[in-house]
Amino acid sequence: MAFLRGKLWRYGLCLFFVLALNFFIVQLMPGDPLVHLVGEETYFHLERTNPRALADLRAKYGLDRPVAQRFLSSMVQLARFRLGWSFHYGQPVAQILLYRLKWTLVLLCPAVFVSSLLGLFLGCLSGRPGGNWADRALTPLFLTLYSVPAYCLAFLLLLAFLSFGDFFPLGGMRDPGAGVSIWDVWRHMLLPQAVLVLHATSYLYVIMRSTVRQIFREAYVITALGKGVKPDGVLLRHVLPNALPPYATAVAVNFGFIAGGALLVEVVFSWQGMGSLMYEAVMARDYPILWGCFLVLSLSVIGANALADIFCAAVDPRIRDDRPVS
Amino acid sequence: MTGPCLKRISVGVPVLVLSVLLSAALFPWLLAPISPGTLDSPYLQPDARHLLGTDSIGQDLLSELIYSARISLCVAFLASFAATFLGTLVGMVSGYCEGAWDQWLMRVTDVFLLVPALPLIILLTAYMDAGVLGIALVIGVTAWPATARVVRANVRQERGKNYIRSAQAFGAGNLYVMTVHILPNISQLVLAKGTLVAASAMVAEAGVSFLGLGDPNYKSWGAMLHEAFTGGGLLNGAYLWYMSPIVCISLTVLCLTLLGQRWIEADEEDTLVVGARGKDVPRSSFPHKTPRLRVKGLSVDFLKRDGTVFRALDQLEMTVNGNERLAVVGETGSGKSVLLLALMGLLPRNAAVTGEILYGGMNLCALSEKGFQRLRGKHAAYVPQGAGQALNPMMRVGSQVAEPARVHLKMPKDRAMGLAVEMLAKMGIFPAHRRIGEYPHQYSGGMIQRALTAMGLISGASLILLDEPTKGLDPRSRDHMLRVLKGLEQKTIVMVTHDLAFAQGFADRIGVMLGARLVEMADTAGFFKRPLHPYARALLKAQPRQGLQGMGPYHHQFFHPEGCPFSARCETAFSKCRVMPPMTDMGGRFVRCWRHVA
Amino acid sequence: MERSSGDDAFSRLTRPGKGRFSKIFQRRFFTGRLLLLILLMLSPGCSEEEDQAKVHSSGPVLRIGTTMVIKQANPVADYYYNILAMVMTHDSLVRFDEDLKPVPQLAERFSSDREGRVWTFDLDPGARWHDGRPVTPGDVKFTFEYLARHHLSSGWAGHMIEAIETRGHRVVFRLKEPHSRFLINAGFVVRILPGHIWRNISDPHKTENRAVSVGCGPFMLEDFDPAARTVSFRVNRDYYGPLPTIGRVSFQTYGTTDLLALALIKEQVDLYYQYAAGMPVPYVKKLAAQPHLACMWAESMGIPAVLGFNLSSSLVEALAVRRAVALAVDYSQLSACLMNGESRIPTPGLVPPSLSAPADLSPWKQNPDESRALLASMGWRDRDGDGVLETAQGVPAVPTLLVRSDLWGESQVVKLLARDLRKIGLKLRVRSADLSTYLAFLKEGDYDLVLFRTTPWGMMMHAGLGTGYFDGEKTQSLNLCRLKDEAFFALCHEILKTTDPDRLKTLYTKVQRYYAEHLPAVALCWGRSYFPFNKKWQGFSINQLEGGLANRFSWQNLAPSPSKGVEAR
Repeated sequence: MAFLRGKLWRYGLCLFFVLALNFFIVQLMPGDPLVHLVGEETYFHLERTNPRALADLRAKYGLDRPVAQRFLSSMVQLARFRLGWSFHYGQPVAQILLYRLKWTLVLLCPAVFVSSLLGLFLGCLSGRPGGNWADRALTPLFLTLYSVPAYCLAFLLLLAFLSFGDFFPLGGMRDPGAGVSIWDVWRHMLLPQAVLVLHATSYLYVIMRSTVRQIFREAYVITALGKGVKPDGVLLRHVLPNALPPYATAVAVNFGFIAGGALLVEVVFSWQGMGSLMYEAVMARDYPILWGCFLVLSLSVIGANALADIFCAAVDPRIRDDRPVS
Repeated sequence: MTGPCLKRISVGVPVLVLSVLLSAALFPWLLAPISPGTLDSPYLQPDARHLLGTDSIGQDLLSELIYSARISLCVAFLASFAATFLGTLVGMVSGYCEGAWDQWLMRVTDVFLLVPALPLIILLTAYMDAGVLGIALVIGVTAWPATARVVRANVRQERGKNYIRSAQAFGAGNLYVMTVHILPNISQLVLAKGTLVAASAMVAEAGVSFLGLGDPNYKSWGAMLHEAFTGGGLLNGAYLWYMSPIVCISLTVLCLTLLGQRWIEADEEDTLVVGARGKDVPRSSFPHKTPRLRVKGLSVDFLKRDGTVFRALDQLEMTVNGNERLAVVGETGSGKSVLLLALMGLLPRNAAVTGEILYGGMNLCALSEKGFQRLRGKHAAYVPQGAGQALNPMMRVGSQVAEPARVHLKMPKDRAMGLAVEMLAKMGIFPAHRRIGEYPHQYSGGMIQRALTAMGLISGASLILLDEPTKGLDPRSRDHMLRVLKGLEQKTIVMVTHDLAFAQGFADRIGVMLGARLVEMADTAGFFKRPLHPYARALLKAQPRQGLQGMGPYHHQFFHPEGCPFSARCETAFSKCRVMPPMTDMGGRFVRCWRHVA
Repeated sequence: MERSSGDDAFSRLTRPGKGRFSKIFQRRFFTGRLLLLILLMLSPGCSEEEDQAKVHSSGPVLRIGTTMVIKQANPVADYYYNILAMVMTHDSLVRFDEDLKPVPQLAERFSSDREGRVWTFDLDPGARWHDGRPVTPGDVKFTFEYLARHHLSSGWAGHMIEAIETRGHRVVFRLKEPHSRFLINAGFVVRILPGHIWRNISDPHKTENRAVSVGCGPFMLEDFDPAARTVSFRVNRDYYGPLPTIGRVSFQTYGTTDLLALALIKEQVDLYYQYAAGMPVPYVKKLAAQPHLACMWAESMGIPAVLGFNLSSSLVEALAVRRAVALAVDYSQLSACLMNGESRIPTPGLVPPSLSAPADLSPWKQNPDESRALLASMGWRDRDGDGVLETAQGVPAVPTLLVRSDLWGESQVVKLLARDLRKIGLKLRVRSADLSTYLAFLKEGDYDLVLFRTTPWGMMMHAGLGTGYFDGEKTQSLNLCRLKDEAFFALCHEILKTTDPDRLKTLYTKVQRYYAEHLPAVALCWGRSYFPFNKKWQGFSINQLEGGLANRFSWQNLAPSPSKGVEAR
């Protein structure tokens, strides 16, 4: 289909950019590019203890070869998900990333799911025409929540629950000394997840509400009202199907925001996911990890957007027939 | 985005808050009670000397907060400036120069929109070891695409307008047109976008500083949070150390968002359809026969956002007898469609309706939304114009046509669909059983019009309101439509149209509307033989069949806004026309013209 | 410690005293036995032997909270895991008790010749690695050789040792030069590694071999969970030395000291442990007010904050500039912020009084006017009117300060320093990084000032009194200040050759005088170390060399307090 073909082209370009960014940042930085490829500590460490290994690395990254050739080989390496070795963790970068990604997704996926549903429901509720109570109560609430950055919200919850006994742990993912239990992980997950859900819902609510309001201005809604369909029926049968594709796109875009916001929330709650990893990598100048985090996050966001597009194509008959969507 | 309830908050509140913060940023030494160099004991609780307490080195938190405003706002505005400049530039070039440039610029925009911003900012600042300016620049570089998108869309819109065309025709260069003609027209939008970007830049800066990536020499609110987080704020009970920067960040972001949204929505009218707030009536009170429809002194006023009132219908008086067919003609904007919407209770919420619509002994103007819902579709059917998206693009046509039958006649799905097939076939859509499974985008304009008509007729309502039923129909379909409508029995039909020939073939009576008023009402035969109102005469003349003739020359000397709306163009206008003429009864014919006032 | 309110909380903090502890112990032991008796009567079929076995194997877990971030369970590659290895899993030839006297560990006996050039160690024949193999002198020899080759901060071993000979259970080190402090500089600090495992690992930083955690200590690694940030150890029942009284120990890493302190309050952890640092003093008052927490303290052997000068940087190579910087610092505010004002203001002699007799120097006193005068005498003036001085060569006086981002208190010190230096016209440029990257930056040398703390062991290493931080050229380890003064090196060399106590005393005074005259570094603060723990445990002893309450001496005496129930996990 032409629509998905066009999108594919778009994602391909984006992927290429994300991959190429690392290469160019490393090239544009002053000094030895190898410092930016392996991180300062490793570089100086190897410089002292094992200059031969440094030379090997130099040859491995092809820093003695022409730029074009080097670019190509780095692309090939990345395409094979060979992201290098982290000397701080003593593990291949890809392995660390996959491990941490798992924990971020544990936090993120339920939050995205719950907030999408909440945003959809509440947005519909107060997007309906007429000065309804939901609109009056929810819009100021969510607009305020929307203005509070996610990690600030995390602090507020932390401060609020500080005195609430021991039920809510103030960080980490498990109790020290305890074994693995889903109940324990869930207990630790509750506060960070509440933060993410609140924050994501505030954005999605605002989007859904304005989408619904906009669709209520469309001619076909007036047609439907003129038919004598009750407002709830209009909402369910006419407004909602039309609101879903843009909402799905918003959810995908929001996934990028939550992924970013989750980074900082993880730091606040000492959640050992991508965010804490990125924080540690920044502090340790562990460039391979830092770069890998960025790559994985970008890939997930691009993936989420692609999913949203596929959803739109599946739902919207106009896209299926390659007609313009006005 | 902001709801009606929030619109009531004037712009003043955010502006006031922002200007207080801005003055804190510009003149911190005026507001801060204690200079930042003065130190007291660390972790003091709030008291009279330290309103918010002290931090881990004994600095007064309130003063620190005020001094930190500078960097926070500075980064936000610098980043916003960079992003807005870049975004506007890209958006204008892309929107103005279509083709390859547009294509490539939009692809680049796509890329930046897809890449998650915060990780990218963290990556860039970590690599660059950035200072304040660096961070602002990095945030700006990641924040421009949204602005570019919106600007591009608006530039494309402006570009098509006549004044740009004429400027280009006069030989104005592209750069000149862009900067002198287009830029001022999108400036408010750019300002609004810039404000929103400033809000998100502030959040991004706070995030980066919170991670400890900021410049330790220049403190911002985010950096304060970083220090509270790492410096023992929690255990020492210095909650205000956390709270105060959080409140400042959130308040600024909220104010910037409110302002930006207001500016974006400034020229967007509130055209939501909302139900009437009158009283409900029991189902049984609706008549089963086809009663007379009587409109008494009906006025509709639209309240514009800028506070002005636009009168779409003015003191309309009209009677349609049972089983009568009335065609209302008139030019676009004369209030014909508003009349139909008013009859159905489908006017937007900013419309104020006064007067009475009496139908079967009920005043429709006093109905509640529920009451109208009982009326609509079942007793009175509304057939909208086929132009635009009158049919739901996501729903099969058959389901939409069958919907009134399912809602009002409580038909099961298969029977309703069967009825829909029947109705579509009756309207000349073949093969109807296959066509019902298609979506509106697979229908031509004429077919949509016919499908809408079928939808209006399906539930057997006795009052039918048609809005331009012949628009987009080819002559054959038009004749078919005429036959179908004429074949309807026991129906009162009010039709709004431009098509005089169709009206002549269809209607029992003709009403002419001009400038929100009815100016003539006559039986069809008499009207076409001898139209009384000069406007009606002009209308008939303008019909192709009479040999295409334009409206007469302009006689501005007798025109007055309060007077006859046609006087500006009327050949027979005279001094009296400066005052609105009354509706004159001329033996069953009504006309609103001083020439016919005895 | 009982609940006490307000300011006298500090004065009531328990100082370890034998008399009091044994009394409590006896009393509690009695009630404990009574309880046990009642329990036994209530539960027939449960014999006393079984109960004791339980305590030893799965018994109570000691939960330790820390902020040290452990990234891999590799004692050579990961700085902080190396610390845990020292405390838990890896034995060294000797240990030092709190009075800084050597006590045997892997080496049953140790001796040296009169000069201190030949050192002999007789290994405990019962010592076994966690995988059951015996610990041999070959392992000791391998460890020293392996680390000299592969471990960046162990390069000194190659320079110091001429040959290592093994005979039966005996290891003999022949040194290139006399080294009277071999026991602390090598015998204590080198954790002996199993040769059969490490032999195959060519790069200790790039291995995925899980057996790298194998040692011969009283505990063995049970689980390293980076997700939960926990490292747990269980007792090594085949340990050749005195068996620890607790079955399991788990370390939990917290993101900030705040969260760690809250965990102590909420009884999620039993003990605070942070290598070479006590609980930051501003937290102690709050913790001490908790009825279930107690706190032990000692005068710090390390220095919590030292400002070092990079002597090869053109900006601070002149003594007058260093003195100007030192005089600009507001020492009393630093003490107030870091130590609650309880610490003594440091002297230019750097070394805290807990380590040696002070060399009769008077404490620092802030004097910005003198600072400005000193700078002006160097030709430093503000020529462009931006509030920042320029040197005589016209270079802006913007010194780069290297700081660790992962230590509590560093940001306070940086803020205060920035403020104090600003007053004399210097503007700080701050580079902060976590420990490993900080070390890398140190080696790179691109800084003018460096903020560091000295650990108790750091104060002991090399010739003692912190000389190890400055004589890095010889030791191939740290050389924070890039000191290249032969007179200083000679002084250190002389100390290392001497065993005569009176001579040593004179030399130590000379070292302090050297610090005071040449100012390679300035102690910003001296202090006390506080170690909070939960009262349901008793029997802790402080060992600053091993970092606090978690140490080999505590493991031998630690027990649940009889009155408080410790739930078994």
